Amino acid sequence: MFGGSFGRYALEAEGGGSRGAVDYFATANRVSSNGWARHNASRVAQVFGKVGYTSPQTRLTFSVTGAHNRLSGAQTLPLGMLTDPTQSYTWPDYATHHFAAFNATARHRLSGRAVLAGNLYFRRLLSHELDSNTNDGFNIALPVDGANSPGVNAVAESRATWWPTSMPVTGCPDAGGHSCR
Amino acid sequence: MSNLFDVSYYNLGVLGKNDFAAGTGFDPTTGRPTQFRSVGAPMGVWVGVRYSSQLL
Repeated sequence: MFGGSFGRYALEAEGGGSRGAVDYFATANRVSSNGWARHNASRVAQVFGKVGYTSPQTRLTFSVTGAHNRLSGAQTLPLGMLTDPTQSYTWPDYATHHFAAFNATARHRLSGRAVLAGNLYFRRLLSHELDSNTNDGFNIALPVDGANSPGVNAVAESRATWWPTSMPVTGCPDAGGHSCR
Repeated sequence: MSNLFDVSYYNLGVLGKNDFAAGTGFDPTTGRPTQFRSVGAPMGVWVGVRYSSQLL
């Protein structure tokens, strides 16, 4: 862990080991910063965990990944505003990413030359981005409303979900005496 | 000698129109063409510790 300037700190932990046929590993980290300029704070949180089982014929694993991040960006400033470089020209400007993934794998040796292997996963990512901008068409003589706003914001949002696209069953033909790995 | 530790720098520059240039708040009709610069992050100080052990 560390901490210091601009309210920026980080915490990180990890651990792992094994007991008999079972092995495990987990890690998590958190980074947070208020930013060195205004409207410039960012947060990152990530976790990962995995457990596994091993026997002479079989290997099973299950892992989880998660992230919950919000990153704010610093914009350019016109020359006239550089007297205080911590100012923002417009704000907010940020991107958020929320991610979750689960992955299970299995591998089993059927015989000396044949292996059955599969992979099952689910992943989901939600992204949101906002870029604030001034509106060149704004008329200061008119009242501010939905049709006459001083700002125009570019918003991008995406959702993506992945499901398994294949469940391979791997057979190893007799390859001239090569063993199946 | 100036800026010995490179603490004052810009990492991006673009040309744009400053809609606050007239000093009377936001008004796109009085905006002035100008350079826009992205200011590099200032120096900071961070202190950290790391601990590890054999738990099991």
